[in-house]
Amino acid sequence: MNPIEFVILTITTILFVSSLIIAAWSLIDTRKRYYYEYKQRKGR
Amino acid sequence: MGDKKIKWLIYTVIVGMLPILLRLLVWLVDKTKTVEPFSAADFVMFGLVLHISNINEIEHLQKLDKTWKTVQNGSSVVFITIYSVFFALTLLSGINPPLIDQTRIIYYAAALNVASLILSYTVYDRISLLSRSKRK
Repeated sequence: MNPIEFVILTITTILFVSSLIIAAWSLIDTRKRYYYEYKQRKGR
Repeated sequence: MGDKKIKWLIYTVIVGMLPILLRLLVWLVDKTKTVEPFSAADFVMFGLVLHISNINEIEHLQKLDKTWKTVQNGSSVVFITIYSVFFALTLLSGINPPLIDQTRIIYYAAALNVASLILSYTVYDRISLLSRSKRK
């Protein structure tokens, strides 16, 4: 593995892991912020 | 599944994946096997389509939370930058093959596509829920 490939692999790994963390945070935040409100309005 | 999510799946995901699917189809019917089954450029384009549609959707909604908007827009910009680097590397590896292995770029771009797809789903999940709660 040459240095360019190593750098690309490192960046890809960091980006992959961080995007999974962001996705999990986003889904949890969406459920907390909007889902409760949506259910409440639906029940009315 | 909400309206927005179905539209995202059909108009963005399937249309974005067309180059990958068509190449695979051509490879399957090609008896001479001159066409490669996968190309890094197709994966790069799919990723770019996903993130540009994310930015476009987020920009048009004023009601969304600012922090969330910033995080999603920022991650989309980072992804677009990396995909552009991958595309440049694909072109460079065509000129100078020992520089980087094309197959590795395909693997990396495909892995990033999975991450992009998940991120894009979270964007449309929020937008879909927001539009449904506004309608009720």
